[in-house]
Amino acid sequence: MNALAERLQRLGREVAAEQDRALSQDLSLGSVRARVIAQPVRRPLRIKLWASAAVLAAAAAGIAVYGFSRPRAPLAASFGDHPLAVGEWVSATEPGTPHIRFSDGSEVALSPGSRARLATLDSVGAHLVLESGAADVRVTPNHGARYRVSLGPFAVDVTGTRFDVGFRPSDELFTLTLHEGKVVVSGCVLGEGRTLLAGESLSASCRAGHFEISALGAETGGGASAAVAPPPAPSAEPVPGEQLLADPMGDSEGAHNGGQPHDQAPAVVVPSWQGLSGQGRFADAYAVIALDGFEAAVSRASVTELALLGDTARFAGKPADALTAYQALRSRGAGTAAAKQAAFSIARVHFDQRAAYAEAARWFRTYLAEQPGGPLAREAQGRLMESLSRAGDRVAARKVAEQYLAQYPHGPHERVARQLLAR
Amino acid sequence: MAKKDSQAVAELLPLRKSQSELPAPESDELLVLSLRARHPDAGTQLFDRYAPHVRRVLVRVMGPDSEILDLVHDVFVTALESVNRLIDPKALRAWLTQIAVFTARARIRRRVRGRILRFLPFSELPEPELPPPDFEASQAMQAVYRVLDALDTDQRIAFALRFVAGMELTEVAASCGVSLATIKRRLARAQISFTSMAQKEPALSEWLALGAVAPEGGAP
Repeated sequence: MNALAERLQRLGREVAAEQDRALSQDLSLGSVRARVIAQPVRRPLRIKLWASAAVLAAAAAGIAVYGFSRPRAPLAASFGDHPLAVGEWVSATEPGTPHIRFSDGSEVALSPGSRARLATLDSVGAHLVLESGAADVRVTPNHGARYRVSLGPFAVDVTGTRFDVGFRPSDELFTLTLHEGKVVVSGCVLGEGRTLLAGESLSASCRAGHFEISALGAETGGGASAAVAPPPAPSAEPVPGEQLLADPMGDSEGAHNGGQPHDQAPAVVVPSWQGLSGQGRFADAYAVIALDGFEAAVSRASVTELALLGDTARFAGKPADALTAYQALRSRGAGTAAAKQAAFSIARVHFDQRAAYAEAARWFRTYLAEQPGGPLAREAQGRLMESLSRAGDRVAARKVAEQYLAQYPHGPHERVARQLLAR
Repeated sequence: MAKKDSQAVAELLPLRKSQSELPAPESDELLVLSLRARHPDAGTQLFDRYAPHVRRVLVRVMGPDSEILDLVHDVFVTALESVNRLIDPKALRAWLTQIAVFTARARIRRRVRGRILRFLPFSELPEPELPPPDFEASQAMQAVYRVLDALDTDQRIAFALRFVAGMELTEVAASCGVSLATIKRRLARAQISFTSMAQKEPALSEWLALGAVAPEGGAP
């Protein structure tokens, strides 16, 4: 840098420092904040025109369709002779287990050892959650049919096709072989979606951060097979010559548009909420979950994921959602260790985040009843004592304090227990 | 003890005032996703995270100016309306800087056109004189922006971002939406123009100790 530039920088720094001193005393941004938030977001005119055209087209199509058809009745599902209701779990224990059949002719054959749940069912399709194992899926190509199969962090969207699909939770390995039609697979390393065509197979692993698409019958790694790196992470540095930004104002001389059509969101790789949660980035993980809605995430989550969903919401400061996930875990995974531990988590939410001490006491008692020798029994006993005390039930609190001191004379709640008994 | 325990827990798990409030995503990528999904809290979070930065950029470019808050408003309205055009969500801050620069540029150009229009009939005159700026400026700062007012708009912006905002050349280029080579040429011209005009400003003579020195980036 030459001498003149150095002098200009010194002058500039002085000016900037003076500006910063003035700005530090100015709190007027609050009024702008209110105006910005109150301002409805306008769409550009081009979009409005397209939208208008789309609305007219949709209206015309709607009128035409209405004239020739009536609303379809919801589909029905069955598992062997047993009608299958939304929310029910089925598992295939041995070869020859009945198929899940839908009234439009679609069917799902579970492989032995597989477990699945019917998450939703409507007039055009269904959402099936395959917790583990494999399945042969045949969707009848009806007009407007829409089926989804979720497997851990992956989802397969299908309108009419036949494919084999599997998921191994232990290493989050997903496999799909497509025999007919077309499917869109999304989630984890696949980002917002990869289209697969008939004759292709896909294997993907969240844990390995890798997926591979190959032609049926081709040797892996051979000419017809293509190992594919995950889509570029959002943090990837731009390559030289590649522009980071679209022209923000659309009127810049020499500004670069980056080749994106206006008003079309560029593709963004959505990180998995499970991965973010695993890194302790709970607010980020919650933000990803919230994109589709927390309820939807709960409905398609496996038992293992429900515990993580609950923890994510809890640490993101969303007690209501945390309770929803833990309660779903209690009912869907009834009897499992995870469901029993969820009682403790529910109690913590009530105690820590809702100050609902009577309710917290109820759930700590539930945990102790279900897991008297569980890993959290000592903590549950101590916090039960605290909950009762804060709820105003001194008699019960003293009784628990006595039990606590008898069982854990030097436990972390010893002092609290002694204080309670001394009163 | 129990009180201390609960305080520790409260620090670890801060209570939220509103159950419908989205916890602020820590990363810009997720904030952009929330904005694109039109989450009701996302606009507020964008403003809270970046309004101070945007205002600082605008102040650097515009100087003491009564319209800074209006410009901040315009920047965020533009950003919220065009977030779908942001290619790399991780570059959210740089993108907002660029919007701020272009918003300031449009305002400066409108004022320049206004000055030219003053030679036109009364009915075609633009808005009246601006009210005084929000804060008192030193003589040196006033002199800097008097000189910058006289520069070509693009040169003024490049100069302000480089020397007042203290940006690297690549940042200046990205903020102006032009190549590095273009920004170097623009800055070279801006330095010559600025030093030449600054000779008429006594408040700047000590700062610059003006002499025949080659501008940064080589000859224009």
